[in-house]
Amino acid sequence: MALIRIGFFSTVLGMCTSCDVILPQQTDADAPAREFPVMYLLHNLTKSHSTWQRMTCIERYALNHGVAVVMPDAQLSSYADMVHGGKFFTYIADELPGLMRSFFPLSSRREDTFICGASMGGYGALKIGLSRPEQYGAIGSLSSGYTSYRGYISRPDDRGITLQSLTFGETGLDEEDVETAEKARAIVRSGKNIPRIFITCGSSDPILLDNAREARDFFSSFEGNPFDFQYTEHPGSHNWSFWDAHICDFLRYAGLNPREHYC
Amino acid sequence: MALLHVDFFSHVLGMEMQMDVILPEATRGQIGMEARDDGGDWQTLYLLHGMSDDHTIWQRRTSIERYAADKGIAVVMPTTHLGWYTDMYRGLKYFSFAAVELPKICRQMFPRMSHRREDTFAAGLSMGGYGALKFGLRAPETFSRVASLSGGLDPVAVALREPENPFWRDVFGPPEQNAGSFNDLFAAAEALKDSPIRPDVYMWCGTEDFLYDQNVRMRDHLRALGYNLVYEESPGDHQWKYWDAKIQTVLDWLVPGKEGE
Repeated sequence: MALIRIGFFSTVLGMCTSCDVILPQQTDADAPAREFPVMYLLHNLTKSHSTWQRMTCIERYALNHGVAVVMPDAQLSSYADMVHGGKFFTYIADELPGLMRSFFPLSSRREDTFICGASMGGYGALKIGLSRPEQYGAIGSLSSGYTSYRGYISRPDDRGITLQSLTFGETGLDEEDVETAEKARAIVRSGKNIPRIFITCGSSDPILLDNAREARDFFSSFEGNPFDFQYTEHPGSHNWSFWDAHICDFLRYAGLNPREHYC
Repeated sequence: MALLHVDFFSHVLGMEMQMDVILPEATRGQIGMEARDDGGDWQTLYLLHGMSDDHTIWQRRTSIERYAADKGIAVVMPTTHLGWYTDMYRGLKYFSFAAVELPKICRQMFPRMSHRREDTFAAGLSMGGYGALKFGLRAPETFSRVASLSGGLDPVAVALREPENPFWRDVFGPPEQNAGSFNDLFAAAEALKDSPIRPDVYMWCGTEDFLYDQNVRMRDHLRALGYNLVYEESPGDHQWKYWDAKIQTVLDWLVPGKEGE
């Protein structure tokens, strides 16, 4: 297992940005190179590319499941193309995967490619995954639904400016929520490239339990469960011990076979 | 260009190791520089540190990322501790790690790094100059061109002068057995005398360097054996001011005709 801290120039963002990558290593250095399944793993609000590595045992879990993990930095963007800020949606949805495949032996197969995150990262994973269903076989959200949490980002700072207005403008947040739901309906109508969707939330989550349940009701409303939707609640709150405890639930849901002895 | 800090496992050493890696990335719109990536496989330079340093030192003491950007070349900077790029007599197998295992790991990890000998180079300063020349002479099937800046090219002689120093013994073994050993670069050059696969060599040393004498002896030795050698010397001692300048000369020598446009 290699932990790779990478800094590079994003043309979409127009600046240098950081990304942590966990890459399985082959045990035989003489073996032909192989490509690995990959999970794009998104951080929550106030955090960065390094947080999953620091707050959880993600490297060990990735080793046990044989999956590469790409952890980009999205700042406070809600994984949006910010009205006043960087185009983080386009960066992560459209630029990052190609860049990562140009650097590392990552599978380009849809069924080997996953996107997941916690809180704002779960929201971002659902938004990006449903916008690019041809890229991702499974989408995971820990402690978030597909509609953005309005509480934190709608708080004005000492100048009266909100993250919500910087990110979405005055009305854009509502529009994005509607768009994401409409994209989900369109995927089902098209009948192809339907990603599997997994959501789990702490049963005492004080922040986003309603948000997650709203998503539960939405994805459960499709006849025949086309998203193979799985929703669970477990004892826990809105914190890293919950996400550390349940990120492997998504890896298993995504079809990655763990080496049980180590899990 | 992308700068990668890599923690990885070496099976040869049996432990976690670190390397910094610079990868080509075609960019536009970066203030003050344009980086190139000409497509296809990347030429790769293994850039070796000296004693007292580690994988981060080239990045910190020079502008290596900017110089590499002009060339579209990948640069691998491993840490090798105080291992003298040698399978130590009493210690770990740093030569097998750095010269043999590391290129394989890098080619698996970064599929666009060329597997071809003619695209694979080594360079280093001081102990790393010894390492680079050793890579070329003892692993010529992997490295086609190697460069030594202020290289400690005859540590075997140094070890002989300090027979009581346990450090040199741990690295190279009993001093009376050093001459002619795998670690003796003069013997290594001799051994390839009639080989169809010999590295091209670049050397630079400052005339005030305490290692100058060793460099002159190696220059004469390689010339006598008919190696394709570019030798340069100029006033200077053993410090980064010169290595920062000369690594640019090395890159021009390795990748001619791709100066920044």
